[in-house]
Amino acid sequence: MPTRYIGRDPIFKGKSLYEIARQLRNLGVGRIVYRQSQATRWPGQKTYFRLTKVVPDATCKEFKQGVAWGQEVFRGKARGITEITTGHKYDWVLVPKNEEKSFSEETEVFEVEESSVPKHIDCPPLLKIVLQKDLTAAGQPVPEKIELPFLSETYIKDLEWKWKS
Amino acid sequence: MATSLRQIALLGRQTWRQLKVISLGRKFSTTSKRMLLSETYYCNDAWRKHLQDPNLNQVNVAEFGYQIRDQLEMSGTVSAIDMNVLVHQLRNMDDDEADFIEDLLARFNMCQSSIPPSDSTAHAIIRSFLTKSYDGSARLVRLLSQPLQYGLFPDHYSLNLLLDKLIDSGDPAGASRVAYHTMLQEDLSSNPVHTLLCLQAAVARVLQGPISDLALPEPEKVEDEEEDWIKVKYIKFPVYDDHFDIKDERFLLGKTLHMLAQVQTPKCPELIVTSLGLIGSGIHHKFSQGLAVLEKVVDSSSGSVPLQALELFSESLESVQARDPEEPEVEIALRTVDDVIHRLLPTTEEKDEFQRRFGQLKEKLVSQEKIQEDFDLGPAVKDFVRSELPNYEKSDIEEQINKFSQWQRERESELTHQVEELMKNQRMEEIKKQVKELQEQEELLSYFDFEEKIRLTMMDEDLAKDENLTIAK
Repeated sequence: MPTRYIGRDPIFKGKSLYEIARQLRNLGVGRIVYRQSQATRWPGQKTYFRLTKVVPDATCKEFKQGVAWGQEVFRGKARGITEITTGHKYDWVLVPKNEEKSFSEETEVFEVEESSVPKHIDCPPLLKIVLQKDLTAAGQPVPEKIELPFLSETYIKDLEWKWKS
Repeated sequence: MATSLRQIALLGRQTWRQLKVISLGRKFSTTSKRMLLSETYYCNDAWRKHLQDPNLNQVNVAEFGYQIRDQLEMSGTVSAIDMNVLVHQLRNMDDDEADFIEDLLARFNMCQSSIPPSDSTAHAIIRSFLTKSYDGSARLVRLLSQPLQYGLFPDHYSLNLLLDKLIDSGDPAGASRVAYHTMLQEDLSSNPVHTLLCLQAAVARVLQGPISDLALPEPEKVEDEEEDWIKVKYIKFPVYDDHFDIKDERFLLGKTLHMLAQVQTPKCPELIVTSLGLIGSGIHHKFSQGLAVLEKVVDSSSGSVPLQALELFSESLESVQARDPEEPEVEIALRTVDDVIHRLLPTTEEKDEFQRRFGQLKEKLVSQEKIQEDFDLGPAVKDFVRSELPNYEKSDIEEQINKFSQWQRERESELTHQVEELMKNQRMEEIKKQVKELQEQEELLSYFDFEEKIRLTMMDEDLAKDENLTIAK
């Protein structure tokens, strides 16, 4: 009897990292794995891991749990040994040993542009007048341009979190 | 009366078991038949010495096995060292308890303590099953071919013992299964002895009979049948990686042969390498790879191709089922792995193109007189394996003897660690108990000082038990 699955279309077209690892001697340490979706997204810039340590959850029958570490290459750029947080997704592909050399050859590298976040912002007009008056009253020299330090939202959130804790 | 009868029965059973072990040991050690590997390769003396480790001989194997099973059932886990000790004693177990052991191995594979897998445990399993008089090797082959269920990944040396036994007993099907196991690990070139044994096993399997016999039976197609609808959150994509997911033995064998052709050490004669590459590509339905092998021979000045390999490749090419290029893809909701595998077959146009190119290359080979008609792959491989094996045995033997002592040291340190952990846990339990007693004693002595507080605690406890309570009991 043919089976028809009723549900959303699949997003991932691979296996979980732990399923691959459990079929390999030494849990695949030293082997190269990559995510299918990343390979499709950035075909010119290689994103992969060379596994250094894999600890799958042996009790999980669906091979969806565990922890793993590997030497990461993200979009052509080496990032050292990092933890693999997406090992449970059915998106992983093992690179055959005879293709490892050609696969890991240096390709196009994605360079991250330095984001130019300003360190200071212009002082609002009313505050500027108040500050000028205060400085004059205190007998201090008044600078031509008054600037305030810029605090990003993330920084403020971090500070708030620290104060709360 | 009942007790004495039971004792007599147990005594008889033990005596019978001891007699059987002695007879099996003799049978195993005094084999006069020349196997592929020499008797020294088995390191039987070192193994016997290894088994005399006092840590391994402190338990009664039958009782220990049942203890482990009970522990697995109660807590769902068992320590790796206990399992290691048990598998070293398997030789003393009855033959009819093999199913019980298999079940234990499968359950142990689902324990976190089975990670990382131990080479010592895997080696002991192989040795123990091989000494059994029943279908021990066949069972091992089954365990090896289900890595997700049993998690058995022995080292090359252990696999060599198994392969030697299977080849010697004339079981190419079982021996080739071991070669497939190593092929799936893509590790055919690390150990020369293992490479040679896998070569012999795989070639024997090819020449055993028609290749078409190895194919999976065609699934029966029933049209207009009612569909079984299953609701899921996401449909799982039917993945076929052409490696771990291969079920068709032709493809496993073809891929193994193709990988063996790429091995550098030991260096096979050119004719064997060409045959392996050509036959392997044909059986695995990678015809473009096979044609590339032929093109290489045509372009070379001194290369040649055995007729036997050409015929096998031609047979595979003729028999391959071509698919219709216009055939619509099965919708994702109904798609199975078989549909994905079907899409990998060559189209009718591709098959015609392969056949045309093959015909052209064959004509060129005939005109250049590069077809070897008198070459027989089977005897050539046998001779090559027999001549090369003794060159690589010595290093394996030395390495294995070192491993025995290393495993013994590891076991000792692991046992010491386990005992220390046990003592620590016991001491912690004792301390907890003492603290509790002290608290109770203190409560009794200082009851009137903290009466209000104690009453409130009692009320909280009562309320926790019964939410509808309005006043403490």
